[in-house]
Amino acid sequence: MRAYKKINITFGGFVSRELIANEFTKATRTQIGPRLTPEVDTNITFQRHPVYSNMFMAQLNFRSSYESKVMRMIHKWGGKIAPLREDLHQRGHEETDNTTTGKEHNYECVDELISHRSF
Amino acid sequence: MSFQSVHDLLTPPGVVRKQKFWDWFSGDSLKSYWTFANESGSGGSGAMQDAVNGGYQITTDTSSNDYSGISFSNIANHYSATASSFIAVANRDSTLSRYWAGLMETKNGVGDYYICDNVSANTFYILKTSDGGTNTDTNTSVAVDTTVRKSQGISNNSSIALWLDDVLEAINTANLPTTALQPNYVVMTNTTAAKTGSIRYFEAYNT
Repeated sequence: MRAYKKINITFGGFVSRELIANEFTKATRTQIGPRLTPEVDTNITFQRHPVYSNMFMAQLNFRSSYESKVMRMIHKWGGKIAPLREDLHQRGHEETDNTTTGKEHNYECVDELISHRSF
Repeated sequence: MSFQSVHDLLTPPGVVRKQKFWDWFSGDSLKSYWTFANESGSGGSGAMQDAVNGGYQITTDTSSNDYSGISFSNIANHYSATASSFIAVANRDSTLSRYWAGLMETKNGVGDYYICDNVSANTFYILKTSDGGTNTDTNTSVAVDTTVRKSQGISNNSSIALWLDDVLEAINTANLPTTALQPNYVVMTNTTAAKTGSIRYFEAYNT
């Protein structure tokens, strides 16, 4: 069974959103159908840093088997684990509540949350 | 000065132009390459707006989740799932409604697609990708609203990115489309009243 983990990382300085996006999602040589598998199987949301304009945050929902690659990437680009935004879904899907309201809800497929620790 | 062909003005030397499409939604009627259709509900309609920057406006039928849209009517899927891009400048006009703009395999949203989803039931704009009907949503950090925004989706062989107003917002590597796609703009009502949405620019091209 596939398991997914979620993490929010702060990057800053000379690192751009595009660079991080490319690092995580660039194609490998493994082909499945018409597509090549990505470096890391992850969906990413980029956010502005709440305080510093030259920094940004990348929240990832990644396949757990890629955890060591994610950690290596954080180390390589000077990332810092930040508080999670649980309201931001990276691997969401919609379900309709057919029992009562008929309202649509967006749920996220995630098994483990990796968060920071404030010292 | 020698005369440049339009092909050469828009294409670097030595490059053979790939399929490209754009529409400004100007003039007194929808261009013939688009087809308007009511996908759910029969009372929806579409019309050019008589207003500054009005573009083309779609009005849905009046039952909840009724939707209408414009597409190439499943006849011309010119755009690659793995090497293409779309740009849409659109909005929805009020709350309790939704619009989808992007590239889809079928005009009713079944099958493969990658789109920008603005639905009032969700807090944020969404990058939505689907492979054979199994879809994955990734939120952007931009809250849903009724503002006219430029959304751009870029598909390559391992991921799909969504840019909103020229800022990279979201990336998907899961449930990516694999079949050829067509342009699509759909407006949906999420309540028991007709809702409207407007589009003023659409561009799609293979990369």
